[in-house]
Amino acid sequence: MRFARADDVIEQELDGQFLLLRSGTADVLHLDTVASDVWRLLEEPASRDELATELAAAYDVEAGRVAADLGPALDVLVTHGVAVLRADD
Amino acid sequence: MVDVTLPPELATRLADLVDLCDGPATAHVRVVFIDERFIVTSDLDQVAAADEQAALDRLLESCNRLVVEQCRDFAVHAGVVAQHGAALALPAESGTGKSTLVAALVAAGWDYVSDEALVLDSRGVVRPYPKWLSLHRWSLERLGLALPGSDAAERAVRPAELGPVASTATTLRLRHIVLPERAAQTSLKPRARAQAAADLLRLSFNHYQDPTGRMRLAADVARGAATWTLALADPVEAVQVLQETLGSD
Repeated sequence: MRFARADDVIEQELDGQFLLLRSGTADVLHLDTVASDVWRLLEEPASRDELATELAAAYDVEAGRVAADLGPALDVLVTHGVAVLRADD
Repeated sequence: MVDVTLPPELATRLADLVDLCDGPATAHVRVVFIDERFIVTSDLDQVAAADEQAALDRLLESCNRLVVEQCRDFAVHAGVVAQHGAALALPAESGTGKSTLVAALVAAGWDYVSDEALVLDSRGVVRPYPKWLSLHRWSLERLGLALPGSDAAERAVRPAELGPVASTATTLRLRHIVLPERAAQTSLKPRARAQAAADLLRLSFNHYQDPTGRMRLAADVARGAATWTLALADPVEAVQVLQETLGSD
């Protein structure tokens, strides 16, 4: 399974953090630094493990150390409908 | 165009609404008297009023909201004051205390821009919307203003009664975005600019008109401003805190 950006999401970056808005909705989502980094990585669909590896490299820590932050970040993105979970092709 | 046969106060207050419109704006509001009270119904809501003055106030509040939503510029639910061309916006939901805080700031020497809407044109210039304020009895007492003449819980206050009103001839730029939140003690602390931009969008009346453009505009004005969270316990204390931190900018 891979996480991917949902279609029709409008984004705006400011100071390294993202504002997201799904077209046709009024719900603006502000992403903190970690969630913004995850969103940036989701320019290409990726699995949880792939995201953990990328984040760990970016933060210069071991992959296990980022799991605590990655989970909540993905929950926020999926709950607000700006990211989806798709079966691998 | 305002009908000159209207009572003077109504004509004046409606003229304030007209000044915000770049073209025709439509508001449907109906007032009926049933069961010893006035019922004011608009496209937005239905509220009851105890007497004629309160019904007039509710009617104008409904007109105000409907006009702001139809404004072609980016409009955010916020109080706004200014000094020397620099605007301070207080984006907040109704009931947070922004009208009282705006009134307190104007009494302290800031220019009144609006207690209802931060209106930004496409260049990010702030457009004044100096509508009359509606202040509750507690707020009037706290600020030393005249109380309502009856048992009314609130009174419509003409901006000039409080202090200076921002001139439309002055170009206003947004210098501070301050998000007020009810709290037990008053304090001011920095807020992430991205969060402040999100606040503007969340509290906007009409970002749906151009979501991409309005998100860009919100980010641009937040980028050029100092952004804060104000823990608000008392409006007079809050003015002191704001003056100490922001007043000299």
